[in-house]
Amino acid sequence: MSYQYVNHRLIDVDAIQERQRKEAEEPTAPEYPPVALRDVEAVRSACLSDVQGDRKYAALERVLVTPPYGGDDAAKDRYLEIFLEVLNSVKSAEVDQILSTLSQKPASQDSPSGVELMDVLMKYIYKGMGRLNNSASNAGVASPVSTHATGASTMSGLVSGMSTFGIGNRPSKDDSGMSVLLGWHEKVVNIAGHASIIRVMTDRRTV
Amino acid sequence: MPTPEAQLLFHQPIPDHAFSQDRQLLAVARGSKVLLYSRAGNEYAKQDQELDINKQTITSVDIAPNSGRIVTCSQDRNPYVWEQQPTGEWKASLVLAGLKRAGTQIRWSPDETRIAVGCGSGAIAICYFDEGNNTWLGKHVLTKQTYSTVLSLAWHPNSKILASGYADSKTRVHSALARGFDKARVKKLEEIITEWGNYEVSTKESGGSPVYTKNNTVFAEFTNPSGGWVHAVSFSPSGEALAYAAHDSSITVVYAHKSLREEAGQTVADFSYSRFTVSTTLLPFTSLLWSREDQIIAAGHDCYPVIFQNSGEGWALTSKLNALQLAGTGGEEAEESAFNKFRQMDSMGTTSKDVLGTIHQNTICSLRPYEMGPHGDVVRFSSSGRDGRLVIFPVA
Repeated sequence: MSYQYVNHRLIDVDAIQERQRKEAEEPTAPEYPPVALRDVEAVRSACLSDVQGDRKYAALERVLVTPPYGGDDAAKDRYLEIFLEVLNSVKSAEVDQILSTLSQKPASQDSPSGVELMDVLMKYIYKGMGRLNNSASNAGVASPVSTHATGASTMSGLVSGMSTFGIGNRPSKDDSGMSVLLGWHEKVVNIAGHASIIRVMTDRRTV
Repeated sequence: MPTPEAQLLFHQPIPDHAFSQDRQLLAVARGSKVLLYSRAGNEYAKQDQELDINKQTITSVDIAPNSGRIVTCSQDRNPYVWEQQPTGEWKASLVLAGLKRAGTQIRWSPDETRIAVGCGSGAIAICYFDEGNNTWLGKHVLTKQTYSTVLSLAWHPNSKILASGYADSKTRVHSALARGFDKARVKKLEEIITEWGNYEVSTKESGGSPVYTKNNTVFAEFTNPSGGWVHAVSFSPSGEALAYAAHDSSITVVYAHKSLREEAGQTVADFSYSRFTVSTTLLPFTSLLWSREDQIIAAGHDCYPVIFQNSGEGWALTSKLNALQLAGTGGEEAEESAFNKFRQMDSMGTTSKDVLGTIHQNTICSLRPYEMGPHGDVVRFSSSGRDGRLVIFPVA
């Protein structure tokens, strides 16, 4: 095979040149303590009582202040469910008020500033979109993107979440979930800017 | 407020630009060449001479303020030092930097005795002129720490410390001493103390008397919790603070605190670092410039510069230079001719509505100080970007 037919993009140049190379150095997330399912349930019951008592802002803040960065997939999925329950309980007319309160919250001893909480909120919105999309494709709705392995889970959530928007007009219960998330997404971007989307991609602390 | 001075140089991205100290000469990287411009009236006029020796895209260019020498680095891995001959011609000499990957950024040290080049392999070459061999030689530093691409470099004003930003989302402050060029032996132990950290010394090789273990001393390492490639690093004019811009749309300012204590008759220094991160709502910044000790200018994917200020209570974004000021934007009329407009609509499916409300029409890639005030503050700075424009902004 002559040289011109070699696809140079596929050559492993490090195998040719460098004597030793460390493992691929993806930026790693800082270490966080593991999260027990019991703690998640405690957050859930506190949130539910907040929602029932019409303290929706408090419920949302409670979910965002303690993201399960160190948790396993089960804990993270459970957290997402709590998050979606809280979001679905908020009427769309109340979203603006809640977000503007959240974004102006100053940092305190046991809670980061509102800017950081908005970033966590954005992470959950993308994870929620990815989840809805996966369940939709399991139910038989065609979605080519969701089958791709896209590396970091935040990225795959982002990509598959975005691909869901606009596929198929089949009315289902997931469509309403997605429109809730898209509504929140738009309002978060209005306040926190495109930077909040960028930070979902750069941040290695996944929810 | 004076209006910005804008000039469309060509329809191609500008990865980097540099001015001579008297601002009469402008060097602009374009493809595999560096174009030279001289000041003529209110704009820069292209010279016939081009610096054309690199084989691949030039990624960075720098001009030494006093000697006027130009350095270039390129994806073909060969940095060059260009010196102007008495006849006016520019002569290139190769820097034997031994880069294994593309050169990413090249900068003269403030004392102009050495050059730092960042590389796609994660190495940084400190290059100096070797009198004996009459060539420029490079020594690699930080070869063990990472294999991530070096995205940005900045010299400390003392020319002995370097800061570098990497694609693995880390910013490192480290020694810029090079074995073979700087003295190896430590005379007094106080010598190992710098503003940002202590040099590592070893007594193994020399049998008792301490020597610098030069090439891998890292003083400090910083990562943002939200991560992101570190696009730009810069020391403040005094060298007491370091700023870096990461892809999480933030800038971070780090201050080093040194406390001295006596231990067994020797002075020992302990270091602590305090960090202030300003998370913005904008797109990420790719370039940083300290205009004063309490003011930083940043620009990037939002196509306009913004100003961060330290009010005494911490850093905050205070103003955006984003107004479209058409006055003085030379070259605008030529570009927006009817023919071009229709051709653009035809080839890209776009209309003239797509013109941004900023002077730059694409990402700003580099910021440079242009004019200094009486107290050493930057009063005007220049920016160049992927739209092929050069803009000189007054600092508001």
